Amino acid sequence: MPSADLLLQAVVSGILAGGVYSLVAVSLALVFGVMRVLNFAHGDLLMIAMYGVVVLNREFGLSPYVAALVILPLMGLLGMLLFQFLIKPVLGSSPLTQAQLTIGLSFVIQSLLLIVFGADLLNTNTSFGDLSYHFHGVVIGVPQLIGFVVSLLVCGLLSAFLTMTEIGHRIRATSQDPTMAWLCGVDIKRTQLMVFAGCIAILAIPAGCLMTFSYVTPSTGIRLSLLSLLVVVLGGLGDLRGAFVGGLIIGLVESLAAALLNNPASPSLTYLVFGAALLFRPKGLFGRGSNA
Amino acid sequence: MSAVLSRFDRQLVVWIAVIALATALLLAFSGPYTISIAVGLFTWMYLCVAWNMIGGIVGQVSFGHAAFFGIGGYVSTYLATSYGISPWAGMFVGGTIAAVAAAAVGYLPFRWNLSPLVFALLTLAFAYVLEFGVGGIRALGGTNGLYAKTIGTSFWDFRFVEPGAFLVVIAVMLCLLLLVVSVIYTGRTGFFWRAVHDNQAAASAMGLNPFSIKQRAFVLSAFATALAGSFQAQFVGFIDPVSMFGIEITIFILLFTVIGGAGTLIGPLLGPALLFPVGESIRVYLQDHGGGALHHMLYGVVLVAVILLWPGGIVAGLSRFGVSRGRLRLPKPAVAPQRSPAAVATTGPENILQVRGLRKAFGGLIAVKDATFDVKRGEIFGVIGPNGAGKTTLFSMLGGFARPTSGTIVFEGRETQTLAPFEVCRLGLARTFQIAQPFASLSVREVVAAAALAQDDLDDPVAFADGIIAQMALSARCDVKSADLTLAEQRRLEIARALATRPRLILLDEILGGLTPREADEAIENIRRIREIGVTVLVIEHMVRAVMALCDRIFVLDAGEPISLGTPEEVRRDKRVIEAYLGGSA
Repeated sequence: MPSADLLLQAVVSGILAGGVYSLVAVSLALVFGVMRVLNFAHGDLLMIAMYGVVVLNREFGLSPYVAALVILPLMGLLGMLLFQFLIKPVLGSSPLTQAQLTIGLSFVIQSLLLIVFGADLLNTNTSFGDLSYHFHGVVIGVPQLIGFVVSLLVCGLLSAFLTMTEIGHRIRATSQDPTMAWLCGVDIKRTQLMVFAGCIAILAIPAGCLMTFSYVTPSTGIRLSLLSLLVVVLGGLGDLRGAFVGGLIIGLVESLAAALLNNPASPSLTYLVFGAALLFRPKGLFGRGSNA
Repeated sequence: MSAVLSRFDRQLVVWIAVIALATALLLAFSGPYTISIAVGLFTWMYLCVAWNMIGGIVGQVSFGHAAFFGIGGYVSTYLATSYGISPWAGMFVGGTIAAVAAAAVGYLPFRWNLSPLVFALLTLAFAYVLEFGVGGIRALGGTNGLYAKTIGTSFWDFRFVEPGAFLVVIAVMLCLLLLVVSVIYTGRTGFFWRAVHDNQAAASAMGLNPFSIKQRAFVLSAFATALAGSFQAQFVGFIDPVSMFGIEITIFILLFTVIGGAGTLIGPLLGPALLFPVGESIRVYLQDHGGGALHHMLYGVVLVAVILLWPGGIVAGLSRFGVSRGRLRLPKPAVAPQRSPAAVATTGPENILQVRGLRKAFGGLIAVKDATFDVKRGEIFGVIGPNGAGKTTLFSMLGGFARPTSGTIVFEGRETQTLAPFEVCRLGLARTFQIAQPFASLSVREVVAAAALAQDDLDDPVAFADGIIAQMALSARCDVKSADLTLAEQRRLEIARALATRPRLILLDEILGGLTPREADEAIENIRRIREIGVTVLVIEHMVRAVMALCDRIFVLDAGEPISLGTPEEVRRDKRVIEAYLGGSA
């Protein structure tokens, strides 16, 4: 049995990592809510942004946070193109056809990045990468803390945007009942385009945060895709609050599993927890997800 | 003999011949390198065919077939290295364990009828649990993996020096699997698989048990997949968690099958056959020239392109050249169809259906409040009521599609309120749906035949089905896809499908709605004829005029509450009925 200190450390690191997962998952859940497409390439798109951050950092010496802001509009543009040429044609076809399409996209992205950057681990150079606070024996890395705070902040802003602005209302209406929203004068296709582009653009932020303390390889994408998919399903498909809490939970479980079971088998615990949660709450943590 | 031969799908027989010929040619003329590529190709074809049973034909997509592949590889290798058991025997032990695992993983999602997406992700999680879990077990080599036994000399060691021997083994395995799939698909089960794939609710209303149909297909698919895992372990001679359980295996299976055409018989053969050789050549060429991942990119691009261009895969794209998804085979009827099917036994309790205090609440809303009535054998019983009166909810409860909050339903002396739809149907109580439930890929004749085939005690189900089709005046349309019928025809098909389950009581849900007056008159005649062959009829109807003309007795619901019960004449004079239809008393 690991010591109490170790467990506390695991809890803290888990929650910090979970915050970033939450932001990634919230954007995936929003895409699902508004266009009923489960995007298996979400993590791969995040990975593109991560490589973008690496390039800007290495070539121009930009800090990952600044690089993220530079990349943000480019990701939005990429999202627009993907929506127009890939997602729009399959809107309304079976969920598994859509899943297949995005799996194909994920394959293309993964191999493209492998061809361009090779299989090596890449990371960024920052002046604060190793800074950390020590607090009652618990180590809190500064980049991790910033990542957590920034993710929470963006989630909060997103939530405010969705509940307080008119565009936000349109988006939520589309997500609840596209036909009714359309009858009420919401331009569904435009809303979907905007949401998709916006959600892909947002990925630049977790990409910047992750690159301050983590690394990227061409297989990072599929791992993040599946992880965020897990979180979204756990939270209830299309349920943003569920996705947010789900992200924290998965981060926590992952970290605790690693601490408790100090062995290569530890990730299997995460998937066991996920499987059990899925069986007993198929509509998500709050039971409000769509049954797809 | 011809009965057995007729069970082999023609397209599959062609493929079996091609595989046999290719194997012979490769053995005669090719070097070990080409042969090992062919072994890879046949393995992928085998895996795609195995996956396609559950993922394509039944339509429950599994993202976790790597789990079964890995179980096969690990079990046979572990048994061989630790206990000296021949991998041939280990192969079947592995297959059995994989089958049990599949039954366990599929049990709850299939039993609770969870969404296919939940099933897909559950299988994915299962594969990951095994991938990481096995990595932590030292006896299985942990993340370092296991080596198969060094090359032995006897056949039982399953380690051959010549790759040609492996090619023969996998070719035989592939051909056997194709034969098994062909025999299953052209039998009753083929109809059941397609019916569950197309429309699960309507399939249950035929008396099919979707749970056991899905469960069996999944178990069989997992068993077959595990055999390939054992083969792969022996062929490569080394296994580790990533190469046996990795997500890539599942992704490749899905990718090849979807490109070829998921749910079709030859799609899972076509996909790998077209892509894998090209991909492998690119991979090998680029390996010598520095690059690496281009073949993956090719696969991804082809997958995206196929989904956008031909959503049904290459098989759908080739359909105009006579390539089909695989035909279901109807056995030849022994006798010519009878125009008037045999009368239904009319013995048994006088009240065929007894409903007592039936109530259904959705949260605070009470949709049906304490409905109590009896249906007499041989009568036409009507249920009417204004919009939102709770007619359809009542109906769903009678058919087993919704569980009552309280109250009992007794059909021929048996309580049915807790039974599943297919069980209710098998007792002899069939239903139609208000919104006709077409089967996207089945023809009229196939739909009715599927319902007849689901009855175990029919001597000649096809002749029986043809008789019902004739009776419902659908003979001229029997080869049309059920989704392409007109509304009136779809309604008649609904009735035909229900009658094919040989019910003693048939529930007809608003079958007159949306019909022209002439079509409605024909439908009313039809209902009378159903009663004449001895089937008791319960109709739920919006058109009061028709019900008055048709029914012996009528039950009136308003806002969930039963307000009247009696002959049409009695009901017509009932004050509460007039109030409900014409508004409150002024």
